[in-house]
Amino acid sequence: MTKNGESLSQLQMAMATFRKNGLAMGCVTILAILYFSAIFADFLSPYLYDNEDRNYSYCPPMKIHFIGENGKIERPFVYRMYFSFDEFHKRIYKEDKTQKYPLGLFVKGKPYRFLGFIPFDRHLFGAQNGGRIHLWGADSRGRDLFSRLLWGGRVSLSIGLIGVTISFFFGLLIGGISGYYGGKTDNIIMRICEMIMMIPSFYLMLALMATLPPGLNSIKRYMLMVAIFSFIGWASLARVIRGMAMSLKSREYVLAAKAMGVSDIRIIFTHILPHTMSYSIIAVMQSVPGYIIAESGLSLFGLGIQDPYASWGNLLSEAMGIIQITFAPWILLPGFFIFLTIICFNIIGDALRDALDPTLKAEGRT
Amino acid sequence: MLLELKNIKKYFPSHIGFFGKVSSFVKAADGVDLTIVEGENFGLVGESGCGKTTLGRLAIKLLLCDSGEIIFKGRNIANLSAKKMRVFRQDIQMVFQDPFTSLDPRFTVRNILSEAMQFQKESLVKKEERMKELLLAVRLPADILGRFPHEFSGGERQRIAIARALSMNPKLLILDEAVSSLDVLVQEEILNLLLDLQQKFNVTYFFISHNLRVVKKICHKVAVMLNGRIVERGPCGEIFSNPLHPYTKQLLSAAIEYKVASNQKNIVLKENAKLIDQGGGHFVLEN
Repeated sequence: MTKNGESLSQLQMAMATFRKNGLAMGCVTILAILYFSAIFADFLSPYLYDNEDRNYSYCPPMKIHFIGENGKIERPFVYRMYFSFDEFHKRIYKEDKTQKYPLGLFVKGKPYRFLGFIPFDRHLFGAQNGGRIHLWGADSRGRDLFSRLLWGGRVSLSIGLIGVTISFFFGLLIGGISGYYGGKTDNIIMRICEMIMMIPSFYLMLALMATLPPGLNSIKRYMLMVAIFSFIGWASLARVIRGMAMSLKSREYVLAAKAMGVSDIRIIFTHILPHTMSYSIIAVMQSVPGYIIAESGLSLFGLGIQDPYASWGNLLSEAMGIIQITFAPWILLPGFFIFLTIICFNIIGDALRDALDPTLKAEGRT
Repeated sequence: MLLELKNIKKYFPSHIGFFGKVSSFVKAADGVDLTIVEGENFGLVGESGCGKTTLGRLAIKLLLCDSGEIIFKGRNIANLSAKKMRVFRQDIQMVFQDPFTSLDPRFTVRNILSEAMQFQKESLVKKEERMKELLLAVRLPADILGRFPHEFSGGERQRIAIARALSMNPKLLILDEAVSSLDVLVQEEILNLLLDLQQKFNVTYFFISHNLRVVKKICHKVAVMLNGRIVERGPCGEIFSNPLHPYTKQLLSAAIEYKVASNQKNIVLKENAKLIDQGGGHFVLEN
């Protein structure tokens, strides 16, 4: 355990245990891919989130071909899709074997700002010669679902992390103060917590979102959603942390720090909160899914991110009718990604608890 | 005169009624007077639950007393605010009973010592230098700064705790049962170390213990405490050779002969009893 006279901290030991958990490491990989593709969504996706072509409305996922009609291997290409109507006036798409569009890397597309500030007009891949590629199909307005999934991931994946970060900061701080000082301060803070926790959170969120003025742009809406999620989220954590702080403050090392004249706030940050870390890390991992679901729920009801901007929730709102689902099942894909993300976070949370628990036992007192 | 406690009282509510009315108290300190002179180690003995630890914590203001005066270096510090108290903090330090909880398990030895030195304006290099000196002074190797407390034995941890307390150059060091959780040989080592350190750091000990043998070895003056009150105090030799209060007699006989006197629980302290001078600085509570 010793390396150059410096020892491994408990967190380092826990991480070593965590790394041995194959399933959890798999989930970490999946999440890493999802977050990576969300961050670079503008470059990785062939189209911008609002790029539409009504001729491709509900176009099914296209096949990528490698072998031409003469049986020779060529560079990958897609056929043009054309449609006819069946007896129910629904579009039946067929491949037009006469017209093929080769696929290319770093193709030119609509100009955008890479990562929000670098002007750029290339995309990782795309169809050339004016064709369109819909890897995972298109939605009702002929927008590429693959592109919109990546763009939507930016909202859905980030809102969980940002919301959790803010609400945990407040939860830890307020819980720490409440538990450490005790008495009247504690009483007032805990009553406020209970007031917030008393209201069913989803309905509270709906009510708060409904009070927002309707003409807000999506960035402001996103910020306000984060604010609302954090406003609701801190209370339950604060309660648990407060309980831990109450038991931690009577430890002798806290008394020793007091006797040395260390300030209260410093004691809270150095001697109280770090000892709640193992619990907090697990709680963070397990509450991220809640935020993702909350965002999806709000957007599904049309209260969250508004069209044309994409989030997994409002992508899924297209799949609210049984007709659309039977006719174009690929529009359920955002639901699968929500599911995948949440499962990953939960498995990682479980694995973290397994990894952190033995050290808790070794410490013997937490 | 280093520290003087005058008529210190601390009552803990033991039963609180429905409307917040306190109906009974535990009297942890009930009008305690004592004086600690610089250079003369002071021992406080008594059975567990008699209020000795509380008295130690009152003296260092980890607990606030209900009434009374704490006079340190000629100034009453009982009612000083936390900010003004900071000047006095480094002059009174404390070593706690349990070395397994008195060091933060997430702090390395370096963190532990530098936390104690945070108000001292020295360069980092010089502080590191001082840390090593302190560790050598408590007879630990100097290269353990990067280690965590869980890598040390109880005795070693207690040495780290002593080093931490001494790093602030205190005038008075309160040792709250500082050796009672250690085995007898380690106790002996720590006591010898403490006597050595007294010479080196010019510090006075306020030794709180239930162990009379330990007190006898290290203290010049002793006070015996029962139910939040001092029943007898005086020079160490005098108390051990000529105990006058029945409780002191019981305590001594129990410690030396390992026999518990039959009438142990029968001692009742009178409400307004006063300490009576027996000559030679030996005071006994009237009976």
